[in-house]
Amino acid sequence: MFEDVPPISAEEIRGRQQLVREAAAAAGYDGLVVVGRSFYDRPGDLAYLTNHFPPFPTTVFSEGNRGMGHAILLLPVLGEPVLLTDARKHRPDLVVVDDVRAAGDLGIGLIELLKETYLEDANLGLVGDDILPAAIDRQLLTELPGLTLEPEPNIVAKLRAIKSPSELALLRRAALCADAALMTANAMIRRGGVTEREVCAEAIAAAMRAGADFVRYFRVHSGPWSAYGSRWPQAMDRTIEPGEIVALDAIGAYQGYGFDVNRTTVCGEPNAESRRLLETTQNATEAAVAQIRAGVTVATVADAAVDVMKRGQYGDYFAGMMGHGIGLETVELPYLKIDEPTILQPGMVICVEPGLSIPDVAGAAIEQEVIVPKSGPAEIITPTPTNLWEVG
Amino acid sequence: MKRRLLTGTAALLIVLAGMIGGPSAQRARAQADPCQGLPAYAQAMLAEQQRYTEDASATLDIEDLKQVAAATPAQLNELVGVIDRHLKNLDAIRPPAFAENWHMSIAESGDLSQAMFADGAINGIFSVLVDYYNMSLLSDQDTEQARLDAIAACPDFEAFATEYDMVDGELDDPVPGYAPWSSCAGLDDLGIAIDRATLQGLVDVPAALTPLLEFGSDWDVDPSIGWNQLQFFALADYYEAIAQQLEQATAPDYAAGWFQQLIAVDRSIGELIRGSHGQGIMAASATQGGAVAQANQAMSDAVAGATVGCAEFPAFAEAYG
Repeated sequence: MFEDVPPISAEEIRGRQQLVREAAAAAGYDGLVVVGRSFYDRPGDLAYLTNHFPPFPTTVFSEGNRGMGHAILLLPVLGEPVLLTDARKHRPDLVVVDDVRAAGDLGIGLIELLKETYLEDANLGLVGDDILPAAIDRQLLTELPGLTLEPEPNIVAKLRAIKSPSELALLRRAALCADAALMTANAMIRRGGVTEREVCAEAIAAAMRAGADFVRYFRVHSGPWSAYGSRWPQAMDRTIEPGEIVALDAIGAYQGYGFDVNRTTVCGEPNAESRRLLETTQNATEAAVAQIRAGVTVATVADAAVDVMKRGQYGDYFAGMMGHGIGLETVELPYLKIDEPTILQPGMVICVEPGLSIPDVAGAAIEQEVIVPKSGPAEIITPTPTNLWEVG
Repeated sequence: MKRRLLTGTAALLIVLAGMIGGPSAQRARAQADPCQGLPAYAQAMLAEQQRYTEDASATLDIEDLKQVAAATPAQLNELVGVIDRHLKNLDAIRPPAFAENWHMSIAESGDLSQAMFADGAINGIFSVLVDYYNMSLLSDQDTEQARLDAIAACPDFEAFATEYDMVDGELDDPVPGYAPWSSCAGLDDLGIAIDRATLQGLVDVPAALTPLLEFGSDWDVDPSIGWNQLQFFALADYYEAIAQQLEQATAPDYAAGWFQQLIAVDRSIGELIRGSHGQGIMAASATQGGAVAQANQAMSDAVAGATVGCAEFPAFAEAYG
């Protein structure tokens, strides 16, 4: 029976903490400093180990407010973890760390914590080297000259790449939020007489009603704008004209786990040219998905999509990135690109989205979220039809 | 399949309609004396029923389940007020002696309606229907027995009662215990179990209400073509919930085969709906409806066997199948 999917259990998160501790010890660290940024942005590593999603946007640093929209976990190899949140605090009912402290200045908070735990001269791995604010980094260097803080991009990333059964359940459920948004949008667009903004508004509402935590954006790019993979803003007051191609992209999360689904449709009926573009894109996605299995390289998957595009005489209009992993963040490793040697493993979840873009004319992308199974073909978890231009 | 899909909404309508419409009725004729006072009473009751039905419809058209589903607590409370006026007016009408019990049962039915809509204003009307099902059933049975007793005393009462029942435009469905198949062992209980399962399904899967009403509203256009997966899941889960509820019920031996097929029909409809995303239920039914058609055929075939045990079974199957 359909029910909401339970969140990740505290036991599972404690298990992750233990695995990371052991890996950190094996790598010669005294502990890890794990940084996370706002819930809609880069919360992944931090949320994976704490279930804390920084609830506030990242904001300009000011006196007494340094690090808003961030949080930092100190995970010593020996000793209990401590979570430093910004002044917006945390959800005690969700967070799986006993010692949680709110700090107006995260830099000072971390320095004091490292002194308190006798780690001020330790060798620590930094998970989130790409999102630790430079100002805090400088603070640490200045105040704790004996501290070694090494970028550590692998330990947590490797664990996060392979989703557990409960994570897979949440990702399947998250895809249904995208589906609700896309089906709502498609019905409006197919009927015609609507603006991008109107479609966007209803689609976001549908995803929220379907249980989404938030919708980071719902792109509605119509006519020549469909050639833009990511246009600012997500939707405009432009009326969608009959026959125009419309590129849609739903991104958000359900219980922290992301959905990211592109679809392309048409207002009314597509002409022959549009149909060829759409069907080539659809075929490219299908060809790529068909290659996804445990043990194959990401490059193999990408090559399959490129072959279809070239055969469809769209080889010059390939839109760039063809996909990526997904989980607690919308875009996770590996990136789906030609020559990418990463080998797919069971439990990985990949967004496959080879796109075509004919500048100033039109573009299309059709994205499938797929789970790499232990054996056999990939499980597609996006239920939304790939041929929306024929639906409704 | 279309028929079984409609059964869900029909069951909702039956309970709601019973709450506003009059009781069941039928015919007769006799001598003058036993019916003394009936003309004046009938005139007053028909006028009141007419007024009440119009007032209630103006507040909320309970025949339109979409409107009922969208009703605000304020609208439901307004309906409670309409029923309150009706009850006060009934109090002011004095029935002849032979109709006293019937009159009282009509008023008690109004009391029950008032309580149900007041409860619905707080908790949601579709989630409380099942709670009032038993009381509603007992109330209908009391009214029906009182009607028969009144007819026995005054045969002209039947024509009046029929006219009274028809004020809202249609006769109420047969009441368990007084239906054509009620003489067959176990069938009334089975019908009650089926109705209850249908109502309980919505309590178990409240998200099914919108797609259920949407799908049942227009057979020319399949609204499910544009549905999202959650809507299909909700409706599929609703049929699965009904099937699970029905599995708790026991059919009389002669109807067991038919009943098992009824469960199979619900279950296969659920599975069909679950996989209908992108094409719509009707299109999926045309191309992948084999299991549903098979279960439906098996259910139809089972009617003949059940008729051996109960001659009125075809009428029961028509009402509940």
